[in-house]
Amino acid sequence: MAASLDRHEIFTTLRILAKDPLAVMGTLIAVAFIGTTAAVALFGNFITPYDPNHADLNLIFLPISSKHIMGTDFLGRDIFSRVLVAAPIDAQIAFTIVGVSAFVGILLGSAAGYFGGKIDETIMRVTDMFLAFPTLVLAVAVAVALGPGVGHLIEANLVVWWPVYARMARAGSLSLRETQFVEAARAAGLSSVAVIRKHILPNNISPILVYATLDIGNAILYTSVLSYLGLGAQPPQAEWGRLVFDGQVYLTRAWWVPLMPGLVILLVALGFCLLGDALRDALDPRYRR
Amino acid sequence: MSEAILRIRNLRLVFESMQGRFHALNGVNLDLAAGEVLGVVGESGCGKSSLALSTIGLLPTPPAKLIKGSEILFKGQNLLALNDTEMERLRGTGIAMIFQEPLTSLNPIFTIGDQLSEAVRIAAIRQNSSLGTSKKSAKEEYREESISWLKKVGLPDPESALQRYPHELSGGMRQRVMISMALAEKPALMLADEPTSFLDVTTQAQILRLTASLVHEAGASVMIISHDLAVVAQIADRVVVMYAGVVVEDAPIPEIYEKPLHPYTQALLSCLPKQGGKKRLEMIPGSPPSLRKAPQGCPYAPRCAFAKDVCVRETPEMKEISPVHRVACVLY
Repeated sequence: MAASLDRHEIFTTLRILAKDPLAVMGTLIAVAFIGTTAAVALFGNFITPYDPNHADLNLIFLPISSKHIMGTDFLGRDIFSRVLVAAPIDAQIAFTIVGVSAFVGILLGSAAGYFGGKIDETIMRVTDMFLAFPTLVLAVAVAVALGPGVGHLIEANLVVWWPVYARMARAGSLSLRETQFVEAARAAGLSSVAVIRKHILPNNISPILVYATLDIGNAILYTSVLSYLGLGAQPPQAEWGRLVFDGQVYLTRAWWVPLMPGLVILLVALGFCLLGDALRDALDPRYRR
Repeated sequence: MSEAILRIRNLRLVFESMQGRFHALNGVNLDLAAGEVLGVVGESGCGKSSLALSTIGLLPTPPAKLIKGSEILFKGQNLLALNDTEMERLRGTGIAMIFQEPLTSLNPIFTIGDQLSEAVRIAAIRQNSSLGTSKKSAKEEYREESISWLKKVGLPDPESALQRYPHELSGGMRQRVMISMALAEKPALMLADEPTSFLDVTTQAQILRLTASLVHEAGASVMIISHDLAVVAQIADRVVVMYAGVVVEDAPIPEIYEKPLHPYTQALLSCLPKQGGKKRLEMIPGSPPSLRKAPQGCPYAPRCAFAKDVCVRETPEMKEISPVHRVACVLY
């Protein structure tokens, strides 16, 4: 995206974002999420109020208070600390899944849509094969086959994640292929590869970027689901879905144990949705007034 | 006449669709000399655009299909025998094209500067010019070259125009940018498909005059396609009149006005509004023939006031009336 690398471009985008309260909220949440991730990754448990893995049976099921802002769980561990240290794992999983899928999907989809014919058929029928399975079932099957663990969780998700991007990129490049500026570019002597790189990809990328931002929230939810099913992070490692799973049995006794991590998942997913929505408007030059 | 840069021989093109075959071009023959400006006129659907697109090799195949025996010779080389890569290399720097709708011919998400300097860069690389090799950064030189092109096409404030996005420019300005992009690649042949149809009449005249002067300066040949004889008359040296996929008349500009031979050309000319005329505008009764059927006889016969029996049966041969004037009609 030559256009967005420009300093002036980034500035304009930020200025437009700043005008929309929802966009500001989404940006703040996303920044907080990424900030927490970076801080925990750099400083580890030093920045959390308590040791996230320190169990103290005198402190079990303490409700929300100023000392424990999310309460404590069945082993007396501070839930807020555990939520914080889980952030890098969720971030790593979500960004890897979305990033790699988007990259693979855009390349395959753009080529399929632009060239059409046999190339299109081959790529899209393979994509259809992956889409034909219910995504969660396929992801669970792959995750079970690979065994538990964060790395395997990512791989399992990637298998089901990229086809959506390939479809989107193909749809975009199908309509772009027919535009006058692509025809004009070909008339000017650009090769197919150059046309895809200079005209199809950049025009395709803003809707996909918006979708990918929305999708970060999805990826976190999906990761949580798989972890919730016991296929992702293993105890005592903290991961948001896992925290909800471990806490759910205590729902009637101490509702904050599953609910607090659940709310964090919701908040982060919502934040990325708002940001994605705002980016769509901000990135489109035609909306810039 | 100097050596022909473009020589089209018996060009026949069909579109194959679910509804059957459409005979778009039925044996087109024409020559274009180096430095000449040729106008191609005719009604909608007579094959003007198909002719241009097949010359530059941008017709989607399928559905388009060229019939065996068709030849498009560019500088003596048969374009229909080239493979995709060879054709790609010829586009832009060999044969360039300006399209009908300037409003959509520019990529909406890049600035004018990005797009124009791309054309400048391609030309520099292909023609091994000194651009981009001196001490100054290549990017800077492409920028300067771009600015000089925008000046030549008369775009006000070219420096700031480079930073603008296409939607910030008017139709006329965008078409000027398109022309500068086409010319920046220094093509030997430029195809202009209805370059001014979307512009208002005053802008039309400006753009046409500009194109004519820049083309003469560059020594390029031009094929300008239009449904409007008046537009063609402003810049072309010679006109080819097309009807239902064939050339029916081919003559220099003054001659086609003074002595139109083909009944269709005569009818077209009588449809032009005349200054001070009190009469209602003339029109040609009927509409062009369906392209579904393979042509038989003169395609214009059903609408022709002078049609005879022979017109329906036999396809008229192209006859040379004078060395520069050809017509396909049994009347001559």
